[in-house]
Amino acid sequence: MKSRLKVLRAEHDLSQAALAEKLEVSRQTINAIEKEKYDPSLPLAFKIGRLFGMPIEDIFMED
Amino acid sequence: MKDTLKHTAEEHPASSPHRSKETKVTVRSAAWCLIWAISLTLTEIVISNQLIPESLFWPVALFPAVLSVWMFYQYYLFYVGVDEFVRKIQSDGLIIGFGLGMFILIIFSCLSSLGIPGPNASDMLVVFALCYVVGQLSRTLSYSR
Repeated sequence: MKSRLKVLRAEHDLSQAALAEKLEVSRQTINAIEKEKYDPSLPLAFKIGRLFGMPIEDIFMED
Repeated sequence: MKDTLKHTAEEHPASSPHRSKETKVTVRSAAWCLIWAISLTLTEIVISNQLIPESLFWPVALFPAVLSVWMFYQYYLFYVGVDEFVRKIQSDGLIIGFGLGMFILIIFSCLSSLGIPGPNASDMLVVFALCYVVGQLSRTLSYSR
């Protein structure tokens, strides 16, 4: 699954560690999502959406 | 919205409550694995060298088995306590480790028909422990690339 997480994180001037802390996940999780090696669970995807104030389909897209 | 999200890494030290809870369950689980491995080794040394009275053989021999229940419980707490990505690495690694362990045991089993001695329970323990490590390492490396 493609993701705009890296772009959004950069736009909000957040480090991977800071974003991970806000989402209560490990930095490796953020890294893996950004590298498109891991698809987040629905609860985590919704949490990311809420954090950036966007619907999840604007953050995550099918390949 | 940007202001509410604007935080730098400095404002989020690694020792946050969430991270410290994860670290705690991870260290505790690893520590109990180590304690269990030491108890198993000591038990084997004590019994094989007959360092205790014969009446204590059974309770001492079974002590690592009792301890293993607590060790697996600590591993379970670690598994449910870490975040979803670490959990996925664990699950993937366990599947690979189990498959690899079974494969090695099947090879031993097939070779036993040729007269080669098969593995005993201690060998199987070592095989599965090593396969677990291989599984975890392979998945960790694959996701971190």
